[in-house]
Amino acid sequence: MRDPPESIAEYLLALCPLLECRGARRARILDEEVYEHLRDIAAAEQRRGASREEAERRAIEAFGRPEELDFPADRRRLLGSLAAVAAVLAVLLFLAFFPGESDRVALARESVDVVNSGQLKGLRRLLAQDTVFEEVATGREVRGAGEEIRLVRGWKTAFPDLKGRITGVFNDGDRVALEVTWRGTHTGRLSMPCGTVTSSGSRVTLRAMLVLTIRDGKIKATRHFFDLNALLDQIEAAQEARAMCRPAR
Amino acid sequence: MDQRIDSQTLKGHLEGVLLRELESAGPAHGYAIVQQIRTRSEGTFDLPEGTVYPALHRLEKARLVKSHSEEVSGRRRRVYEITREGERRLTAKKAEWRRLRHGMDAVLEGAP
Repeated sequence: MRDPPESIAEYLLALCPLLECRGARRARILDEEVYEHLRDIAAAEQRRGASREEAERRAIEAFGRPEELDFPADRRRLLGSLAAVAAVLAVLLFLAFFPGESDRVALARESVDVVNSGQLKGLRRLLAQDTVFEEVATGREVRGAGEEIRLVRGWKTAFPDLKGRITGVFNDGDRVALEVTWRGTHTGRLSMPCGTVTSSGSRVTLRAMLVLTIRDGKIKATRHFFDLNALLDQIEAAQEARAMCRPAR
Repeated sequence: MDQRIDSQTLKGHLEGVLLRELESAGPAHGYAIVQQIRTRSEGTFDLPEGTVYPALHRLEKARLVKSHSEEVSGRRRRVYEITREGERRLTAKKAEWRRLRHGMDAVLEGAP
């Protein structure tokens, strides 16, 4: 059993981790209630002639052990716990009725999450060293994780807020297809094989399909399908861009 | 012989005791409430003083008391007062206590 606290400071330190509440309520308990009350008892003991140390010991004895103070938990925390339980139950129910997604699907989803986060170095963990990335609409094809990251960074430079929402997932053997809706604002220079399109400030929505080949826990190949004309139509510099960038045939 | 009632026995009645104190003495902080209880009970209720705070928090959560922060002589303290709902609950508690006391008297003090 832990030694009982011998000073008011030790008492507060012992009580603090036992409180199932935070912020203002925690401060209220510790400062306005427990601390002030202990000070009152200790002051009364000192008036009766006790030394400061002895007065604090007696105050703690009269106040009761920290474990005896059974404060009700915060409602928010309780709701948080209930929400967590509900979330776990939802996942368990989902898993009970729908067979678990394969690791491949999880990996494919993660690749979009990494692009959304903008922490593109995170792709290195997901890509095979010799991965191949093909952008069918522009005819670009790059090899190697570093090159693929560079290409994706080009998109994030043109559309810094670029986010992909996965609306469909198909898994067949080692291939995973993701139906993705990309959204972003064209505030940066868009580098294309045919040249650079200056920023237009346009908000762009682009439906796309990513087909990934995943082996040994790594993305070996990616094919990215989207409608380049649909993209260019949404950029104000469409005429200029279209003249420069004809969709690959 | 020690005439004090131990805190476990008092526990089930502590909330009623606190409501009664706040009703009769008006708004007060925890230390003052404990002193009043000790005086009014003539030393019979000598509970660990800290245990009044969780009870006060439960009462506040049930809207039977309300509290506010008050600064007195440079010290910030939490002052509690009974609500209308608290007064109604106290009335019910008193009736409940009378029934309990009547029953206990009948059982413990009645004819064999």
